Amino acid sequence: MESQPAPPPLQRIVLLLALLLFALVAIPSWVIALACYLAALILVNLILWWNPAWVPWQAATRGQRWLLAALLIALPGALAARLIWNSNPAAQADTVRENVADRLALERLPAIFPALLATYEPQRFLVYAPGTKQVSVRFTAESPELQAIDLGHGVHLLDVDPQKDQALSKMIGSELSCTITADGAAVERTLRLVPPQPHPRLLRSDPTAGIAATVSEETDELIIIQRDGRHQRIAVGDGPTDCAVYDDGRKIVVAHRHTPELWVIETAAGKVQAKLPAERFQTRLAVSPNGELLAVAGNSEQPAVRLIRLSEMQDLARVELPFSPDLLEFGDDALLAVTDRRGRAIHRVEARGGDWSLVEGPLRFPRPITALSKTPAPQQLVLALTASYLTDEQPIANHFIENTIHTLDTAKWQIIATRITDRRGLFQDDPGNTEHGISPLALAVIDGRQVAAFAGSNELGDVPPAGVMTTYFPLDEFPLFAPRGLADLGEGTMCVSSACEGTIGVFTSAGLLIKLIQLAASEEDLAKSEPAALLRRHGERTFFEGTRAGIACQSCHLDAASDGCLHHIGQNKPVDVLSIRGIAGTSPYLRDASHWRLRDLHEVAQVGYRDYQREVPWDRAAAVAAYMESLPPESHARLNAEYDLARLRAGVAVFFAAKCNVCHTPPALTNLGQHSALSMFPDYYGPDGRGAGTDAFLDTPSLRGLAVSAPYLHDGRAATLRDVFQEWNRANRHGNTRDLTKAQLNDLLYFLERL
Amino acid sequence: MTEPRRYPLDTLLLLALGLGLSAWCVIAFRSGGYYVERDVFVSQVSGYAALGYLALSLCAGPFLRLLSLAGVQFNRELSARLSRNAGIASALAAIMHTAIVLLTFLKHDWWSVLFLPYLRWGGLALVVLLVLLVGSFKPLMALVRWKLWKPLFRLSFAAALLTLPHLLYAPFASREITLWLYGIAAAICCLRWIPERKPRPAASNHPVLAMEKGGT
Repeated sequence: MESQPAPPPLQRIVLLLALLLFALVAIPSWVIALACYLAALILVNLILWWNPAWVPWQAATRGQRWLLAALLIALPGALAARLIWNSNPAAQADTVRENVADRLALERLPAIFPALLATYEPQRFLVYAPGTKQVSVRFTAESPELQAIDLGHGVHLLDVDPQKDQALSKMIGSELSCTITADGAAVERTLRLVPPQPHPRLLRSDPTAGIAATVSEETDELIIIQRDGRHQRIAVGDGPTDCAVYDDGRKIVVAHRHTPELWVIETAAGKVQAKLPAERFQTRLAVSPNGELLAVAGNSEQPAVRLIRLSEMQDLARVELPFSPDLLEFGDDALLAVTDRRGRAIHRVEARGGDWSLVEGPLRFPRPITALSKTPAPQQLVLALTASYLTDEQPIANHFIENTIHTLDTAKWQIIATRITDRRGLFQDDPGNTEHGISPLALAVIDGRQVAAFAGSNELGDVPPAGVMTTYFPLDEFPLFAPRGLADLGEGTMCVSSACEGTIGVFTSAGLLIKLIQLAASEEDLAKSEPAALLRRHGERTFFEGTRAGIACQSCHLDAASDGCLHHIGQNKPVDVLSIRGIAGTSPYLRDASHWRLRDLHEVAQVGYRDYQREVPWDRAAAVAAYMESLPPESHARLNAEYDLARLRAGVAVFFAAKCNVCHTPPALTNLGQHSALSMFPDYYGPDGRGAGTDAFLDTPSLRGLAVSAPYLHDGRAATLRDVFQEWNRANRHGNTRDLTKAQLNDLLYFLERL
Repeated sequence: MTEPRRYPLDTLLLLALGLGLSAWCVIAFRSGGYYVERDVFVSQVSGYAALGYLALSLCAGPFLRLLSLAGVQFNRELSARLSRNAGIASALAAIMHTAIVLLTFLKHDWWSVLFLPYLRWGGLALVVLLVLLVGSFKPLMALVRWKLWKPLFRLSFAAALLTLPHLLYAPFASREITLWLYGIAAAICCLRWIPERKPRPAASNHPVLAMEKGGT
């Protein structure tokens, strides 16, 4: 019996026609696929309307029918399959998967946030278990069961110091399964685990003594480097932030973030000589040119600078500051320059008539200062920032970053020289590309010359008193990527530190390597023992590495936090920069929720900033995502200070009464959703509002680290948290805060500032 | 005198359910409290109602077929009627959901439908449901001289698929409930391929059956 294809039913004709249309249109979109189906259906109905007896290929011969059948099935099938394949459905599915996984992790109760445990610093967790009163968490089988504090409404607060838990502090790997017990019911939750790697950052030295020192905040150690390359590692308190060499190199003082003490270390013996009581969150140290005074910047609840007479180790003065001090340097023995990152300014603390006080009239800049150092000339300092203009107006031009070094005359208190450090190289053929002078993060006087270390372009460069930089010393051949510290060791030697690689290089000032000190495991060892740590290291390198546009992630996200400025990165308007600390598990990302996976943020550098200058053998997108996922939320003084539990509970009660939890849902304090800007702030985004036409929708940010993330709201229009409710919620749709009493609002702010 | 038309019990139940949900929305909306929270609540109720009806519409046939294999006998007309009525209810609930969201939570911000991803997906699902709603009434289809019916109703699967990202990305929907619902619905829909045990009943005057016969 002869076989021949029967005429297909009309329904199949519709399907085949839709497939053919989809292949011809060649737009990989599900909407187009749907439109093709509808078009095919309408077309077949039109034909039927015109000729009700129509049956395709009824009159064709057997061979023609086979040919038609083959064409109808094979050709559109192949074209559509290719189209779908090119649209990378696997990546699309992964995009959905990551977002849904993040949401599910927060919706499966009891939920814990952040879903990450960095074993090197104290962390605050929130556990959300509605209807429960008793919640405890056990991080490992050997760990003690930690009781969370019930704040009401199912919110439980858990402060964890991993260093007090032996089992936890020694853990390695990339994941940790913890047990949350809520009113007797135990559930397992998976957290990312981030064990510490040594990160030597700022280098301090005494060139005469041939000693340099640095601290590694993650591994709680002081590293002392000798001119000949010998070094010793000394265990210090929790979270060392800076050190200073004094007494002709015989002693080193160490400041801490978490240990409320300043430690004095005897250099020769490598032993702790004294411990001075201090507030937590000491951030930076500076020694006066005559070696008599030590300045300690403190970022506790009341920011201040403490001045200590080094000979007796006695307090000389304490100057309270109306801002959080960032960098410190003495201009002369009676003038201390203090930078303010949020205020984008540098202030003077001066000794007048024996009293130290803050002097009015800070110098304000368009962007915050990222490095500060002495110069070969007396009464001069150099400072680095990302704008050359001497104004306090923020540059809001699209993608505006100008890597710049300024010279400040501290006697005249004015900028006397400015050098834009971005420079083209010899091998670039595209206009506007840069190769040198990206992200100066360390400045020092080496052999009487002013030298800068550029983390973005991975090099050192001589900074001339005026004019253009021409001399560079590349660090590419050493594992010293993204240099963060630079110091003079005297007698023609210097040292450079790389935080991401965990290395310190000792060089002659001509660039000859004397010794490479490896504090962290090498890449080869990490690849075998901790591949996740290696991926994070590559990610950290990428984070600091400059693109051809002269911009690095670090340019705006200083120390992975925020520079507190407005930046225009191709969205509708300038937006204030979010910290990237603690963002793991909060997809989608960016203010406009345009990137659904952390790895997709790599596209910003690739497409927006002309890609990176160096080719690397590893997956940059995966590495930078791994690095960002490893960052715990920003630690700040209010987080670690003693708190009033009754007020905290009252704050949580107001948070729920004002319905903040509807969108800022615990424990991440975001529901990861987007909302219409106009409906949230109708008075601001409405036709008569100042923000009309700027934002179509708003992505709900997490409220973690709110105390240190001013200015507030998407475009930074609220200078303080109080303004968010009192000035910018007149329509009462951003939380039901209109009827809150003053005491209730204060309680709410008290709670929010301690997240 | 003509005899009054009698509606089957399942149709009346669906109608009662719809009216009950509508009443619940109105009562919840009028009962006071913070308006944003009320907006969210009525949006959720109407949205879940549309989703539930759509799931019923898609699963009614395969589910009844499974029951018939287990020996419980149903009239085929019941399956078709249930699918059709639930589909119509789904489209109506989706229209109500859209109107509620635009009038309350979105505060007439119509443009946000174009910008917010989850609203875009929801909007597409609504368009498909509206097409199906029109197709559910024979006089309307006759008006546009539509001859081929069945492929049109396959679009109800497209509507369900478009609703999935709408729910996955929506800020106030539960991902867990969504994934469970879709998983169960997909499993039940797979029962469509179970061979039918009962022979087809004799001619029916029901519009959906008439449409299907006309199309194939």
